[in-house]
Amino acid sequence: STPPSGESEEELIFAKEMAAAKMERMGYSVGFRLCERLAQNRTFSASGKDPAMVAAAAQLEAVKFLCKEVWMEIFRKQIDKLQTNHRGVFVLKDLELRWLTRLPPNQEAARVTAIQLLAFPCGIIRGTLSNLGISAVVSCDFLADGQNMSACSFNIKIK
Amino acid sequence: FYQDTCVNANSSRKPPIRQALMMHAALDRLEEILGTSKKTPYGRFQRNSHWLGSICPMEEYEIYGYVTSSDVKILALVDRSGIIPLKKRKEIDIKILFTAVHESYVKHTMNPFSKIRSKIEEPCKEFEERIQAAIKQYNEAATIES
Repeated sequence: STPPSGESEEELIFAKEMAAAKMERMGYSVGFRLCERLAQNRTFSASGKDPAMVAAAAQLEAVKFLCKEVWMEIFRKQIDKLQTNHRGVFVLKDLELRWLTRLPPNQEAARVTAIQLLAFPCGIIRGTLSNLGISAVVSCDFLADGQNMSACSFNIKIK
Repeated sequence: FYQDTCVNANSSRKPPIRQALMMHAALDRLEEILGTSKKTPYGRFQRNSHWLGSICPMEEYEIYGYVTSSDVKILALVDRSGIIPLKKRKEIDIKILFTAVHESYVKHTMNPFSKIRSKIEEPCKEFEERIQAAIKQYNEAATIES
């Protein structure tokens, strides 16, 4: 869309960032509330010999819950790949996200759109974890190459 | 911090001071049982059930506890005077009550217009109604048994 004249480059960038932040906040609200419902009849059991092990086990339980139950509820599939360093960093890869299946054919435009869209699931992840008492920073990446245009990854860093 | 809902089985709008005091004592006891968020930051992942059992048994009242996966605590103060304690049977009724209250809380949270983790206050007609209905069901079940 053509920007109205008189708006500087910085203002446009700022507006885009504000929009992305708003999307993320909306995702947070959805994730938090949905987690309340999905965890209603679920209990977790994480065990460990010392507090650090318990923390790692608990975080893993929560992220697995997110990858399986929450993702299934929203996207009708689970997260395809989960990686962790067992120290509070998780990488979630979805190789075929529903919401990315209808992107513009132009690679660069597709990338821009995808990043804008992915702000919402980032919020969902943050909201779900927040409901379970885990504070985290979530970022996303568009993994598509020429062939697979709907792959993405989410980076969770637990505070 | 957490949100706790006080359910008075005698269903009066503002609970008497004595009962309010007992609820606060029960909250302290609850903190002992569950561990504070500083000492056990991932405590909620080690609980195997939501049901906590009787937290504070006293002569004429008994306080039961329940905690959700999102760390919301629910307490129920039950008047025991008219009811002969038949522990096993009473437990299932109380559990049904807590499940119903939990359900009401989930429904309240699912409402996108409600503020996340804030105090549930007027207007909350449906929430109130559901809890009152659950209390009524418990009272009926409890008095039939005796």
